[in-house]
Order: sequence, then C-alpha cells, then structure tokens
Amino acid sequence: MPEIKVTPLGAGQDVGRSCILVSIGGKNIMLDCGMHMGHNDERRFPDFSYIADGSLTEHLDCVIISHFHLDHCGALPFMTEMVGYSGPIYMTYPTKAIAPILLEDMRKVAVERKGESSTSFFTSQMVKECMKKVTAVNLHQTVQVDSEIEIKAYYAGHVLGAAMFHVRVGDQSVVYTGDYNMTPDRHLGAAWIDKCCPDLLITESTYATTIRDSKRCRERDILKKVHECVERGGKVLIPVFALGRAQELCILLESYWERTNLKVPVYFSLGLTEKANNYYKMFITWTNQKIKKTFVERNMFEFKHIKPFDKSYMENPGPMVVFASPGMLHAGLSLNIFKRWAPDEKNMLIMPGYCVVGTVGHKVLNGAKKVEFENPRTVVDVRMAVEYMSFSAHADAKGIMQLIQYCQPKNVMLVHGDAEKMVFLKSKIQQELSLDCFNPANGETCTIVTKPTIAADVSLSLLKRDLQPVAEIGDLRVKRRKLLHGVLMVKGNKVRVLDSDAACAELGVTRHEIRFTSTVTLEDPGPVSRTIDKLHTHLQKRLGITQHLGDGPINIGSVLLQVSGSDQEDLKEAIVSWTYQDDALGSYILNSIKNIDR
Amino acid sequence: MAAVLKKRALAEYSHSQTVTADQESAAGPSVKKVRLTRRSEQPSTQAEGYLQILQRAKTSRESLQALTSLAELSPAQVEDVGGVVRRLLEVFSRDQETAVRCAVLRLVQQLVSAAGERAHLASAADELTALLERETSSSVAGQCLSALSELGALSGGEARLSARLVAAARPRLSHASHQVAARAAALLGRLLPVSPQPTDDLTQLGEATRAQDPRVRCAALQALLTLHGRGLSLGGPLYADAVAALRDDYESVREAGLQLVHVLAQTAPERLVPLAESDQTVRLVDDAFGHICNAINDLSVRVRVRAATLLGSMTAVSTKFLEQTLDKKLMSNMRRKRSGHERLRTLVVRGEWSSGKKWGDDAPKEQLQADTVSLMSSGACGAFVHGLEDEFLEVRSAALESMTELATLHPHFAEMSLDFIVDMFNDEIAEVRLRAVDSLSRIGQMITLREDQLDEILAVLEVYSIDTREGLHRMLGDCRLGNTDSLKLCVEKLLKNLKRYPQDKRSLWRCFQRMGAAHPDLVLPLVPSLLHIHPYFQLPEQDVQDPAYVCILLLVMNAAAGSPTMMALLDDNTRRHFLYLRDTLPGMVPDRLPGQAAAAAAAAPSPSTPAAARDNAAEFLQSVLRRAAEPGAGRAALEQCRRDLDRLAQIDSALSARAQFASTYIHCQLLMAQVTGDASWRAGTAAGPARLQTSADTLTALTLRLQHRFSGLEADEWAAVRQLRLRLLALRLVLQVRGRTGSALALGEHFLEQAQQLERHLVDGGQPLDAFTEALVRGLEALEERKAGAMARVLAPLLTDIPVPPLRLRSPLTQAEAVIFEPRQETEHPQKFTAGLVLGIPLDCELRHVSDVSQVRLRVQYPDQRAQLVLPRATDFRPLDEPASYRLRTTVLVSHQVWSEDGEVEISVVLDVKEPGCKVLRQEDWLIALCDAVRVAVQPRAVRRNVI
Repeated sequence: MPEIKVTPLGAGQDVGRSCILVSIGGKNIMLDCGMHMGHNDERRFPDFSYIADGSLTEHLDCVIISHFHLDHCGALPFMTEMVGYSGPIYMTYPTKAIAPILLEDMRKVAVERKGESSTSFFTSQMVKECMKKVTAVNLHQTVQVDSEIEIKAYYAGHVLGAAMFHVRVGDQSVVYTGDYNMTPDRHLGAAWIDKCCPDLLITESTYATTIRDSKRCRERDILKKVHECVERGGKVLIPVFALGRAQELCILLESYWERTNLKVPVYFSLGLTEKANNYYKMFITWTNQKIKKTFVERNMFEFKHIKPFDKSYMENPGPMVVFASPGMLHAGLSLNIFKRWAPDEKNMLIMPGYCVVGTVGHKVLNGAKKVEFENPRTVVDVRMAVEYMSFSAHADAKGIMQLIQYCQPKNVMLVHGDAEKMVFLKSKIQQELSLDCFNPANGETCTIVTKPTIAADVSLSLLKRDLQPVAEIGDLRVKRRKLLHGVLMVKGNKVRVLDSDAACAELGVTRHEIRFTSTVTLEDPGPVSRTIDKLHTHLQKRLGITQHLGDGPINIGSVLLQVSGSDQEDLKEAIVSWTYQDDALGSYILNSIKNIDR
Repeated sequence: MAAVLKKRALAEYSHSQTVTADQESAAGPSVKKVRLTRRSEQPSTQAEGYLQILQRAKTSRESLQALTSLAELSPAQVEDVGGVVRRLLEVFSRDQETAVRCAVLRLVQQLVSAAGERAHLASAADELTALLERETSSSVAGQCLSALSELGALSGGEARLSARLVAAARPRLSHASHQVAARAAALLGRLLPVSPQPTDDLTQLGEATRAQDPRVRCAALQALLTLHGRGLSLGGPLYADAVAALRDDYESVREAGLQLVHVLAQTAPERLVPLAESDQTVRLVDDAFGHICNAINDLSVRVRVRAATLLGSMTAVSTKFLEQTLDKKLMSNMRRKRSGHERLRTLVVRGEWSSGKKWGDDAPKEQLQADTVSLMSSGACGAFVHGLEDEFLEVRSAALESMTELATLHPHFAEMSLDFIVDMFNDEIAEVRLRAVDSLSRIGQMITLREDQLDEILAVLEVYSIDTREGLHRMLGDCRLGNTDSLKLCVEKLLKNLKRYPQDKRSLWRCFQRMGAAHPDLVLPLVPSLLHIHPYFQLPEQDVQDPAYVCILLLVMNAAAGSPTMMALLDDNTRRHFLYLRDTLPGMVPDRLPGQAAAAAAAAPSPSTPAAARDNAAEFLQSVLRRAAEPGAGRAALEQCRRDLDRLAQIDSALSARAQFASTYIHCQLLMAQVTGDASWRAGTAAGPARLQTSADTLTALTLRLQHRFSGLEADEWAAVRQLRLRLLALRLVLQVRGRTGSALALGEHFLEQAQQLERHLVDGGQPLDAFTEALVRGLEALEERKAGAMARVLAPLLTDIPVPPLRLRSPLTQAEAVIFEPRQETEHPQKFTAGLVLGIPLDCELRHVSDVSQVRLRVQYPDQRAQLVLPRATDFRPLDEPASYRLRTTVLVSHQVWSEDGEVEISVVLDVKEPGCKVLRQEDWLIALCDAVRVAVQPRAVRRNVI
C-alpha cells in the first residue's frame, strides 16, 4: 500500500523550530525550516544530520517556507549555507521580501549583543546567498517543482504573506497550513482553502483548547482604555514586536484616531519596522478587503496620526501613545520608557502578547508592584495601570475544525502546539469528524497509509453502453456509483477494462455457454399446438415480448420454451432452457408455467 | 457655402412651419396639425440584404456576421417576420455549423418576441419543437429549449402551447448533456401549469436536483424556486432535496439550495420534521433556520451573503433557536471563560464595578470536561457572531440587517443583540458603522438599556462622524433607561458631546426633549442638581442662550408635562425661561405645563383655544383678500393689504406661506399698475425711464417666485399665476420694442411660445381664460405677421386697459424655504486660507417643501459682486421625515486671489428654475433665493515664500 511518512524535526508537540519532513510518493519534502527562540545551543536549529550527513541536496527534493516568522524560517541560511543544500526553496513574495530583514536582525542580535562566535553563526553574506536560492510563488499558482511534485499556495492570514501549501505527488497529496488565522483582522483576511481533499492535513494547533471571544469586543475594550487614559492626560506604552501584530495595532489606533478626531500624538519607535512597512505598503493584494478597496485613495499603511518616535519625546509633558519594541519589556527602548513612566499612576501599559517567564513584562503582568533592576541597581515602583490584551493571529479550536471541514482531508496531523492540548483536539477530531488524527513528537515518524487509486483504460463504447442513461430506467442519471460489466485485463503495467466479447477476442478464447434446462409436466389435453398457443398468450400477457413462429419454440430473449408430447396425451412436457445471464427471467418463466393453472 | 445655404433654408422652412402651427392652435380648439412623418429609411431592404448575404454565405464566419447584423436591426426594420423566420429556418436546416445554428435560433427568438404577435409565436414554437425532436447537437438543442421557454413565457402562459412545450422538455430533463437538461429544467420552471396538487413533474425536478452535473442541479433548484414564485405550492418531500443541496460542492447549487430551503420554511413553518440522528422532531422553520445559520460559515462569500440575508426574513423562528445565534461558548486552555459581554453584565447585576485592575479579570473559571465541549458548530450556534466578524463587508452588513430585522420582533433577542450592534460601531468600514447606528435606532424602542451598555454606547458619542452621533441621539431619545443613574450618566455625556461638537445642538435638543418626555419619574430626583437649585441660596440666573442650559431646560420641561409634582421644585427664573423657550423653540416644548395652566390663561386676554385662533387668522386672511379684491380698491388700500399680509406671515407660521403668496401677488398687481399708469408708458412710442425697466425686473423675480417657490396651488390659482407671468412677458416685450435697445426677436418668440403653451394648457384643463389672455389671443389671431413690433402694438393697450385680476386663494400652500444652520453669521473671525487655493466651508441646512432637489444650488457671492453657483452632490441630500423636506450637508468651496484684509462672502441657498433653451433672461434672473444669505468672513492670504 502507498504511504506518506511524516517526521517532525521541530514543532512536534512543541511550539518553535517548525521543521517537518514529509516523504510522499518517493519524494522528500521539508516544510518550514525554523529556529527555536528559547534555546541558545545546538537545540535551536533542527537536527539536519537526521536527514543525511553532509550535503542534503540529494536527499531533499524541495523546501517550502510558510511565512517569515523566525520559528518558521530562522534556520534556513544555516541549512543552505553551512550544512549545504542547493535544491529548490519556495516561499511567497512577501515572505521572500521580509524574511531577510528579520534574519539579518536576528543575526545582529545574536552575534553583536549576545556575543556569539561569528564562526558558529551565519553571516549577512550567507543570508543574501540563501535568499538567492529562493523561488517566490503567488497565491493559487500551481508550481511544478519537478516532473512529479506540484505545489500550490493558499492564503493563511497569519501575517503578511503567510501561506498554506498544498503539495501533490502523483495521486497523493498533503496540505501544510503553517500558522493561520480564521478570523479576519484589521489588515489581513481570513485563511481560505478550497475543498482539495488531501490525504493528509498537517495543521498548527497553538490554540487547540481555546475558543475565543469576538474580536470586536476585545478591540472596543482596548480602545476605550486608551482613550480614557489619554483623556486624563496619561501616557500609554504598548510594547510590540516589530512585525505582524504591530501593524495590526497601528491600524486599529490610526482608524480610531481618525474616527474620533483625537489630536493626541501617537509614536512608533523606528528600526526595522520602517523597512518592513514599505513592504506592507507594496503587497496590498495580500491584505484584507478594506485596505484593498481604499488603497487607491489612501494606503492604510501610510499612517497619518502615527509619527516616528525620538528618544527625547519620552520626557515630553502631556498625553501620548507610544509603540516600542521589544514586546516583552526585557531590554531596549520599551524597557527604558517603562522605567521612566511606571511610577505615574495616570499612565498605562498595554501588553498585546504573551511574555516569557523571567521578563519584566511577565512580572508586571502578574501584578508586581515593584520591579528591581540590576546594572544600575534601581527599584521602580509600578503605579501605572497594566492591561493585557490577546491579539494573537492563530486559529482557535473552532477555527481549526472549520478549516478541516473546508479542506476535507482523509487524515489530520497536529503540530505546533502543546502536547496535552493536542490530545484534546485530537480526540475531538476523531469524535466529531471521524477522521484519523496524529500528533507525533519530534523525531517520531508517522506513517499514513493512503488508498491507492488505480487508473484503468476503458473503451468508449463500453462506457457508453453501461453509463449512458437509459430513458426507461429513470433514476440512472442520478449521481451515484454505477456498475460496469466487463473484464479487467492486466498486461504489463497497463490496466484495461474490456467488454467480455472483446476480451475473448483479444485472448483468442471461445466463450462457453451455460444453459439451464428444466422440464415441467403440464396437464393439458388437446393438441400440442393448442398448448403452445396457450402458453404463448399466457406469457404474452405477462411479459409482452415473446416471439413465436409456427410450430417452433417460443423465444423470449435467450429463453427457449418448447412443448413435447403427442396430441392425444393429457400430459405435455414443457422444456424451458435459458442462459445463465438471463437466470432471473428464466426462473420467472419457469415458475409462471408451473403455476399456469392457478 | 452650399452647406450654409442649405442650413439656412432648412431653418427658414422649420421657422415658418412653427409659425403656421401657432396660428392654427391660437385660433382655438379646432387645431389642425401639420405632422411630419419621418420616413423610415429603406424599409426592410437592409434586412433583405443581410438575408441574401446569409443565404449565399459560404463560410460560417460570413453567416455569423450576417446574423449579427440582422440581430442589430431594430424591430421596425424587419417587416415580414413570418417570412424572415421561415428563411432563417431554411438556413438552419442547411447549415452544419453549431455556432451558426445557435445564432439562428437566438435570432428567431428575438424577432418573434419583438414582433409579439400570437400567430408568429405559435407557429415558431411549433417549428422549433419539431426541430428539437430531430436535433442531435446538445448545444443547439439547449439553445432551442431556451428559445422555446422565452416564447412560452411571452405567450402569457397559454395552456395549449405551454402543455406542448412542457411535453417536449420533460423527457429532456434527464438528457446526458447539461446544456439540454439545465435548459429543460428552466423551461419547466417557467411553463409548468400551476396546479394545487403536487405533480410528477415536481418529483422529476426534485430528482434532477441530484443530477450528475452541478449546472443541472442548480437549474433544477432555480426552476423549483421559479415555480414557487409563480404560486405553486412545493410539497414537503422537496425539503430533503433542498437540504442535501446545501452540502453540494458547487457554490451556485448551495446558493440556490439555500433559497429553496428558505422558501419552503416560509410556506410551511409549522410542519414537523425529524431531527437528524435522533427520533425527535422540530418545526420546519427551526430546522431550516439551523441549516441557513450553518451556511454563514460557508467557503464562498456569495453563499455567506445569501445566508445572512435570508436569516432576516425568517421571523417565525422560535426564540430558543434565535438566541442561540448569539451564543458562543468560550474557553481558554480547556477552562470555561466568559465573554466580555457576559462579564460586564454580571458586574452590573452584582451591583459593583470592577476596581481598577482588570488583568486576570477575564481569567478562565471552571475546568471543562473534554467530552462536554462541542467544537463543531451545530445548528444556529453563534451564527450572527460569525456573520458580524466576517471578512467581507457584504456579509457583515447583511448579518447586521437580518439581526435588526429579527430583533424588532423579539424583544429579548433585541436586548441580547444590543451588545453586538454596539460592537459594530467599531467596524473598519464607515458604511457598516452607519448601518449599525440605524439598526440601533430601529430597535431603540424595544429595549431598556443597562448601565454598562449605556456606558459602551455613550463612548461612541466621541466619534467624529456626525451621522453616527445623530443616529445615536435619535436612538437615545427613543430608548428607555433603567434608573436615575443611567439618566444622569446620559445627560453628562450628552452635554460633553455638545461641548465637543457644538454643531450637534439641534439634534441634542430633540434628544433631550424626547428623553424628558419618556422619563418624567427619573428626571424628578435630578431636577435640583440639574438646574442648580439650592435650598437656601439664590444662585445666579443661568444664561438662557447657553445651548447646554437649553438642553437641561428641555429635559425638565418635557418631563414636567408628565409629572405634576415637578413644578413645585422650579423657581421663577426657570418658569420664565420656559415661556421664552415656548416662543423660540415652539416645537420642542409642551404647550402648557401642569401648574401654569391657570396663570397662562389669566395672562392671555382672549380665552381662545389654538384651533379658534387658527380659524381667526384664516378668516382675517380671507377678509384682507376680499378687501384687496374690491373693485374700487386703490393703491393705498392695496398697500395696506400688503402690510397686513406681511405681518400675518410673521405671526402665524401655519398661514405664513399663504399670506406671503397673497402679498407677493398684490405686490405684482401694484407694480403692474404702477408701470401702466406711468406717464411715459401712456405716451407710447418712446422708451420709458429706467424705473420702468427696474419695475419690470422686480416683476420678473416676483412672478418666478410665485410660480416656483409655492406648491399646492389649485388649478385656477395656478392659472392666475401663469397668466400673470404671461402678462409680465408682454410687458417686457413692449418695453423692449419701445426701447429699441436690442433685438426683440428672442423675447418675441419666447412670448409666443409661452402664450401658446398656456392657452393650450388652459383649454385642455377646462379653465377659463382671464380677460387679458382672452384679448391677447384674439389680438394675435388678427395679426398678419407675428413680428415683435406688431405684437407690441397690440399688447400695449391691452396691458393698460385690463388690470390684473384680484387673487382668490383657497388652497393651503407650502413655500419652499431653507434654513442654514451652519456656517453661522461670522464676521469677527475671518477664516484664513492661502490665496488661489480652496477653502471648504461646511454647510448644514434644512430644505422644506422643495419638490425638486436637482434645482437647488448654493450661491456664493464675493465682495466684488462676482457670484458662483455650486451644485451640491445628490448624495448630500438626505430626506427628512416630512415629505419634500431634505437635510443638505455639504461643503461650499470658496477661493479667491489675495485680499489685503478680510472680506465677507455671502452664502445662500437658491433654486435655479432656468427653463432649458430660453435665452430671454440672464442666468442671475432665474435664481430664487430660499433664505437670507449668511455672511462669512474669509481672508485669502498671499503665499508665503518660505513655505514652498
């Protein structure tokens, strides 16, 4: 039986370092090539030696990257330049544009700040070299990787340019979702896939056990809080990561400012965002309906109310709203601003995402009233209001189920999520959709058996004979399976369905005929011809299609009916004979004659 | 040169033509008309030519071209339809090309339907049916069927023809080709006889909804829908087919299926259907509702929009299912979580507000059992929640619309949906936001607002869009509030709104008025604090011009009308202010307050009811008119009448339009008499002094005003106005001819045209002509040649001898008018802008009794007396509740070169009543002002060099 083998090298029952190996129809495909942000040792990259020692090119047929987040593309330069892979790499246009910015930034932080030896880490040149190997694809564009592999991207809505990939090899196919979002937001649409019925759907399951509230409620909440705060003269600090959610929040505030005609300044700390924002302005087709409709008049990413931030503004009096990176308040500008503003109770801090244990953000969110800093050693009183707001762009449990319903796969595999959460979702998928569901751990290989389809040639005349709707039998045109009568011939690697006569002719076999013959004794005095007439009229009445010539036997299709005996005898013998194809008719006639006098 | 000559000759010809026509029509009712019948160019020769080309055509390309040209001919150009059809069918039987044959069929159908004759229909249908029997190509057969169905429909459901066509189509429903089967289904849908009993055909169509080809399935469903639309009752068994179609792979089938499910549910809502996978039954409408709700999560936008739209009309659905649509079980990490709406609700129910810190407030509560959670949305669950969150605005607005529709019928659902509607105020598309405001005002009367909801709603008052705010004011005026605290909160926020957006003044006043009238008991405890009434100290009297104070007064006064005890709380100042308000804002204050009835009665000397006062005034008007109509009424008497009428117009708003009309008319009378009585006029030949011309100009403006500004005139009043206008034209003509200042040709022609039109109109309407018109018609008849000079000589004595007939006025009139609210008269602080660029001044005004808004213009006059007309956009007019009344909110663009200091531009609303093609008056003269101009100071400043 044909099978699909899947081995997660990362993201198996885990979040981060997404990297999934798929063997399908004899081809090896790598889906995503991410790094783990939580580790600083060799665990941060996938274990490429699992695939092969040395060059990967001959073992891998292609690499597909779903979107530009580093846990999905972070290990790519390492893999191509340091481990060695020169095969095809696919990603969407926005991903190809934005990913190198993020990679470069990450490299800088790792090498310059954390002081990693530059020999163990890739260089800027390597990032450039790596991106040269990438082939960009468009949505719904079918790309032929080689003669057998065919890939197609669908909109995923997680970040700009995020895509789900449908991979088909022969008659087997896999859909890999990457990260996706089923509810549209301010700048991206909802994920969309057609009913492609793949053999396997590999889906993320970050929010496997969550069903979220309507996003409007959340948005309204946050806007109200911000508005109240600036109205009483407070300053609002929103720590964000540079890309993705930051743009979402900017658009949210921008349009609110526009709507309520607020004059309070909104600042955005520059950095890599500026470059990325340019790409956001360019890839309008990848955004949602509103932006697509209005960009001719005004590009939504050309913010009117949001201005670049300068460090000196921190000391300015009066209300303001500042977006600053990094998002978890662990270093940099956002932490500096926090230190400055925290003691004033008029101010407010809004955390739009989760914070890792140990960061200032995490402490503050958990209600710490004093935060200690080393170097220089200070204690900051936190009197400002602290708000948490979830603005994550992943599908929740309902969304995952909905995608599965849209896609109609035969099997489902969960990756990119916590193990115990997966268990719940897995049981739900099995119960409510009755699909097989897998959740392999890293390094564990899953084998999915697929139903083979065998193509056979059928001659047109045979098809027409058996499938052509027949007017008499009214329901033949109704959509349902149909029986085809024929002979299956396997010759070499060619499979054909033939008409039985044609098969016989081709094989040079003469057909045997099987006839059943039965004799019935009838009590019917008088001449034989009268008996025959009697039988004839009897059958004519019931069947209507008899044939009788003179004294000869009565023909009904292939059924023969003959009467023997002499005119004088009371008992006549009726012989009924039929071929096995007309068994039903023959038996019917036989019974009917037996019971002729009743 | 030749062309010019020809043109001139033609002009000459047509000119004399009109004149003769005039002569005849002016002669009286026995009009002989010269009618030029346009000869149709080369009748049928063109069609004939194309037909011949078609018959000779060697290639299919040629045939197609000929057919296309034939199809482009107008129906009038094809004469012998039967013959053409026959020849076309010959081509059909000869040609082998599918495309050609399809085109022939299309053309035959087109010709026959354009001719619209029964005989052709029947014979063509016969021929086509015969063709259909022989046809082997499926696309031709399909085309044939669709042509037949068109013809059948054209025959108006003639039974015999329909039966024949249906018989031809019936077996083809199961044809292997989708083209044939789908068209056969469509034909059956249009032509099946409507019988009360379900027939076999229905079953067959039902079976076709399961056909192999999606196009056939879709066509079968559509056919069923058509049948329903024609009044056939579709039986129950089809419901299962329709529901099955909802799971189809093709969106068009799903969409049609949805409609069918909806239609079936609407026709038999109470029928019970078994529930899937259980032995229970539910009402059909509930089951269908569930199915349609499911479609809100469909892959295709079209289906989602359709589903969201259909939900709104399913009013028979039971409350249980309806309320599920807003229900979404939340959880976080396997623990039950409450939605933001629920959290707020419980806070209020507990009677306490959350204190400051909210982090962890939404922390998940109890642990959920894995098997109790259902992730697949079943039935109606959360349908509207999903619909309102959809990516596409079409779906969102449809869902919002449906939700409102259902909420207006189910009060409890209305209360539940309120939160969601308020959430939609935050939508990214302005259109959806506006619709949410609309929805809210529609369900306003149904709900009692909770304090937390009020808090959310009032936050929206900060929004910049004036439409949103005004919608909200309307809604707050309509809805009910739960307690005094809510009312207080509401008042505070609304006053804050007023401070921030002073232009909302009027909308807010109305809101306060209705709020007060609806909640007298809630206002009562707030009165002292609202009016700053102190038990011991007398506080300074508040400024009654302050809009905020007016708001409070309106609230209190309207509440006081429903709460007698309140009067005792008010001090004298407030009572006086009430009297003031009654005069300044008459529509917004109750006529009388409970405690004040006696005092008011004592104050007014004549104990008259308002009705009696109205009668009095009307009588007075009539008496003035009688006085003016007295034969000996001299100039002084008429002047006195005018003064009386003007005063009456000021006092009585109800009679104002009539009084002004009468006054204007008398003014015309006076002016006319003044001109004809002038010495220079009587002297005859020479042109009079300039004052005659001035009077004529004034008369022009006055008559135009009478004609266009007043509506609701009776036929004879209308006739009087028009004849007055004709008289004015005559006057102008005479003046023009005597003045010899320019050619009187245009004026003469215009006058003739008007005279002729009016005369015809009056004769047609059976109205008597007044003495002047009568004489005029006769005088003109006698004329040999209708030159301006000759006419003037006839007209001059008539004008002098026959005075303007007095006015008889009975009908209640309305007068078009405008009130400009914004910009206000502002001459102190000029608006500055860079010279040569444009300054936009927002304009907000109300138009009343304007029958045709396309005539409305904004007139901007600069200090140098140059004036510009601005045509407002049609979308800037919003109809008000009263008929023919509009709110116009637009921006007036002002631009000018540098001025050394600021100057005033005058902005006014005018009607442009220019008659097309009339060259007699200047552009300025056609304008009728609807209101006084508002002066706005502006100052265009020179471009500063360093800026650029």
